[in-house]
Amino acid sequence: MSELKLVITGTAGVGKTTAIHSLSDKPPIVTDADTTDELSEIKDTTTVAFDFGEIYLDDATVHVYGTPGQERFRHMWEIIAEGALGFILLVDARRKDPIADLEIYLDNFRQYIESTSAVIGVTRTETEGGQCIEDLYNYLEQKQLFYPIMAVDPRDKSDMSQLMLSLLAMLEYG
Amino acid sequence: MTDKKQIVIKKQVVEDNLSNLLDTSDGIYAALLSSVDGHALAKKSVDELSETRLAAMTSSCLALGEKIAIEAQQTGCNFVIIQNTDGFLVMRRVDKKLVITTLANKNINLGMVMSATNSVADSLEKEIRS
Repeated sequence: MSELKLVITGTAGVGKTTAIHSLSDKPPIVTDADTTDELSEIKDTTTVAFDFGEIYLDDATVHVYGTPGQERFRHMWEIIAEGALGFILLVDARRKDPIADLEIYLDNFRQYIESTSAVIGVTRTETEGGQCIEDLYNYLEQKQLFYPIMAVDPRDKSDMSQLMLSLLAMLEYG
Repeated sequence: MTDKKQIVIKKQVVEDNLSNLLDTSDGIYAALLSSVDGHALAKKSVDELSETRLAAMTSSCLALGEKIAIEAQQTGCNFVIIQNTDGFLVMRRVDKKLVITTLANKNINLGMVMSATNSVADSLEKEIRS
């Protein structure tokens, strides 16, 4: 049985750890620490190394790694990205500039994404002002990038499974 | 009040503790106090030390060390130690939200580094709780 490595990345608080909890068939490994900065206004803990979950498919096991969101943990990004077959980029629609957020992660993981593939999950689209999916499509089109974009709730296993399966389909059929 | 805010208030006490660590232990050349989520709070160093990146990295390393111990069904992770040809880095959690990292050269015994790190961590914990 083959083993696939996928990476979930995105800004702090977007829902990466929650997504891995939803997806994983075993209790995930999380390396969270208490927040002591402005992030504590929205969450009590933050990932400082990585999150890790396992998903068992019929013919493969998927290992999903979640990166820390904050840029000071950039040292972990390259370590985690090495050997990954695909990337799930989560974008928080509630934030001030979701396109700029997406750009940061597309840029940072560019060398890896270019040789693999990516899908984009947009969280909190139901909140006021959270309608940014069309803007994200337009942005990607301008950049000549063609990745699936889906509105997802990281707490919903079905949503996250759909996103992951669309990434696996991208990898298989390109 | 969070540990981090207390540390800002007690900055002088923290710096005295870190200075004492360097002054009393030959071979220990730097000490860094940071938050568990990777912010540098105080440092003492014989040479230049880039504490910003080091604080973030020690946060990742401590969290990983603690989780690996749990995965291996070992509890109460006291230290995370990196030993290399130039010396040692010794990390220890201080209370709930802080971590102290001691940097030592290869001429000092690891046990001495651990003991000295323990002493300053205990001292800082008393200050935070007082």
